[in-house]
Amino acid sequence: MTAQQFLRRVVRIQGIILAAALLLSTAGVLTYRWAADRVRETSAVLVDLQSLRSEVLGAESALRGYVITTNDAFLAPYEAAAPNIKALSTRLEERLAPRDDAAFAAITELIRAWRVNFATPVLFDVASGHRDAAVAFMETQAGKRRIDKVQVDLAALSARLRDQENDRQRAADEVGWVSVAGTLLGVVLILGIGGQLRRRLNRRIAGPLEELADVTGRFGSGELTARAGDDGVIEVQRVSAAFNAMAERTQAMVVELMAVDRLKSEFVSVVSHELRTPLTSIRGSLGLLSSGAMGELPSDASEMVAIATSNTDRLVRLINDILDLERIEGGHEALELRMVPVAELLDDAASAVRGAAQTAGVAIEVEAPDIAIEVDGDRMIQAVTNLLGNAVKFSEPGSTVVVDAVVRGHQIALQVRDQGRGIPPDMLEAVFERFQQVDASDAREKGGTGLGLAIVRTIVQRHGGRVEVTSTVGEGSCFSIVLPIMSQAPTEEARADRGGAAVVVLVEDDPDLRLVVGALLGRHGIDVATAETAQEAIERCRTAVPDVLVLDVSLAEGDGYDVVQALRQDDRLRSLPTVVYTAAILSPAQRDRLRLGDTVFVAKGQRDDQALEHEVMALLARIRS
Amino acid sequence: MTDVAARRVVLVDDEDDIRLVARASLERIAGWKVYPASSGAEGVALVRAELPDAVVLDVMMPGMDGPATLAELRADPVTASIPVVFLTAKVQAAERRRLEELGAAGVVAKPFDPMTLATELSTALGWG
Repeated sequence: MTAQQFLRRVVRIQGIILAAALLLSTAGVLTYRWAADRVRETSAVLVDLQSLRSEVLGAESALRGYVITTNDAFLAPYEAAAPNIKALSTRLEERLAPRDDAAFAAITELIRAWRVNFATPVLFDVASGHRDAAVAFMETQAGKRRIDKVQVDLAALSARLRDQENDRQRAADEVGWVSVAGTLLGVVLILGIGGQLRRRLNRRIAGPLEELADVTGRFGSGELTARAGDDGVIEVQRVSAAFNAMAERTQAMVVELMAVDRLKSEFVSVVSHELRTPLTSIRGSLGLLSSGAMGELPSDASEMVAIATSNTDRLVRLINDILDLERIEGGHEALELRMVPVAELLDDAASAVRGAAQTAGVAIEVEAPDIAIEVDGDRMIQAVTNLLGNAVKFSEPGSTVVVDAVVRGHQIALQVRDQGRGIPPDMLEAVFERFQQVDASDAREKGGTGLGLAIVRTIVQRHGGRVEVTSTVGEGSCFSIVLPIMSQAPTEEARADRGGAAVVVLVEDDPDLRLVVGALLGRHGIDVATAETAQEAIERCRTAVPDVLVLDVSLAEGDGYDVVQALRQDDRLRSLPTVVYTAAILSPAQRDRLRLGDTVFVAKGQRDDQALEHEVMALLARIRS
Repeated sequence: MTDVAARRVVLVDDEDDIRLVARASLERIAGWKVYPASSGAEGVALVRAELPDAVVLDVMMPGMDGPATLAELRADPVTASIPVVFLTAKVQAAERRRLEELGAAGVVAKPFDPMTLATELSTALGWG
C-alpha cells in the first residue's frame, strides 16, 4: 500500500470515529434537554396536585364548619375554593392528558360526586332551614369518606408521577454517561490512531528517508559503493531503487572514467616518449650543423638550420609542457610535500633563468624572508621558474625583475614583478588558459609554448593556493603565488606537558568501531579522545592538541574534509600526523585535501583494524624519534 | 685549463640516428672517443673489451634494456666500477629517481643539446 492510500484510509477511519463521537455527544445533549423539560413539567403537575389537595380539604372543612356553626364566615372559603378547584382540575386534566392516565379522571369524578351528592344538598338543607338534617347527613361521614379517598388518591397519583420521573431521570443520566463515555472513547481512539500513524510514518517514511539521505550524502562524499536499503513505504522504496540504479550507473561511469583517465595519462606519457626519440636525432643533427662542427655552412644555409633548430627546441619544450600539465592536472601523482626554505625556493628558480636573463640583459633581484613552507619543492620551483622566465622574456634590456615573498597572516605570497610591457585588463584571466598569449606573435618571437602559466596555476591549485596577477600596460606586471602557510608540528614542550602519554583523537561516527579502535589503541597506553561529528572533531583537536589524528572521512555531521580544512587554519594542528581511515576509494586529489602533517591512508575492511593500529604506532614512533 | 687526456666512453643506444648524432657531438665538440653499441649485450661485450672511462646507456631498448645492462655490468667485477650515465626520453622525476637508485651516476634527458651533451655527462660523472 502506498503512503497516500494508507493516509486516506486512516483519515477516513478517524472521520468515522469523529462523526460517531459527535453524534453521541449530540444525542447526550438532546437527551439532557428533553429530560430537563420533562422534570420541569412534572414539577408543575406535582405542585398543582398538592394545591388541589389542600383546596379540596379546605373546601370540606369550610363546609363542615358552616354546617355546624351556621356562621357565614365559613361559607366564604368554601365558595372561594370552588373555582380554584375547577381551575386546577382543568389545568391538571390538560397536563395529564398525554399520559393517558385514567387515575386523575377518577379523582375529578370523585370530587364532582362529593360536590353534587354531598356538598350541594347539605348547603341546600342549611339554606332552607333544615340544619339538623344537614348535620345528621354530615355525621354519616359520607362526605368525609369521599374526601379522604380523594386525598389518598391524589397522594398516590403524585407518588406515582414522581416515581415515573425518577425512572426517566435515571434513564436520561445513563444516556448522558454513555454519550460522555462514547465521546471520550472517540477522542482517545482518534489520538491513539494519530499516535500509531505517527509511529508508522516514522518507521515507514521518516526513518527510511533519513537513511536514504545519509546514503546519498556518503555517496556524494566519494563512497561510491553506498547503496540504499529497501524499507519504507512504496514511494520511498521507489526513490531508493531509483537512487541505487543511478548510483550503480554513476559508479560504473566513474570507474570507467578513472580507467580512461589513466589510459590517457599513460598514452600521453608513451606518446611523448615516442615523440622525443626522433626529436633527439633531429635536434642533435641540427645542433651539430649549426655549430659548424660538421663544417662551415654558407650564411643562408646557416640561417635555415638556425630556424630548424629553434623550432625543434620549441617542439621539445611543448612536449615537455604538455606532459607536465597532463601529469599535474590528472591528479595521479601525489605531491611530495616537505618543508622548504622560501629563500632556497626562490634562489633555485632564479638560478634556472639566470642564463636567459643575462642574455636578455635583464637583472634579477631575490628577496626572501627567513621562513620555510611545506610544498612539493620541485613543483614549486618549476612554478616560480616559469613566472621568472616569463618576466625575463617580456622585460626590456636593462630592466630588473624582482622576486620576493610577503607573509600576510596565514598566507604567503611569492611575487614576481617585472617592468615589461604589461597585460591588458581583459586578458588578465585569459593568460592562465592553455595556449593563450597576449600577442599572437609571442609564440614565434619569444619562443613560449603557451602552457607555462597554465602549469603554474595547476601546480599552485594542487597546493591549495591561487595565482593572482596585477598589471599596467606599458609599466609592468606582478604575478603572485598565494599559498596557505603550514607551520611546525606541536612543540616538544606541549607533548611533555602531557606527562609522556601519547594522545590520539579518534574521529569515527560508528559507535562499535569507536569502541574497538579505542580499545586497540588504549592497550598501548594511549589516551584516546573520541569525536563523532566534524564539529566535535575540530573542538577535540583544539583542546587536546593530540599527537596523532585518526580520521574517518564520512561522519554523522560534516565530513573529514571539513575537519582538515578547519585544522589547517590552526597553527598547532596544521602539521598534525594523520591516519585517514575510510571505506571510500580516494583519488590523489582527494587525498591531498585530507593531508595535515605526515598523513597515511588506511582502507577500512573486515580485519583492517590491525593495519590501523600498526600505522598509528608507526606514526607515534616517528614523532617520538 | 689543463689538457685532459681524451675521455673514452662506450655509447649504447638501439636508435642508429641517435648513436650517430651523439657520437658526432661527443667526438667533434668535446673531443671524446666514442665506442658505439646497438644493444645491451653488444654494449656489455664492448665495455669488457675497451674498459672505458664511462658508459652512456639508453634506457628503452629491446631485449636487454638499460637497467638490465647496468645490472650485468655491476655483476661483473671487471666492469663493476665503471660509472654509468643513463640517457632517456622518460623525464618524470619518479623515473629519474628510480634510475639513480639503480646505481647510475646520473640521468641525462633526451632530446639533448648536442653542444652541451659532453658537459652534462661530465657534470653527472663528476668530471672537471
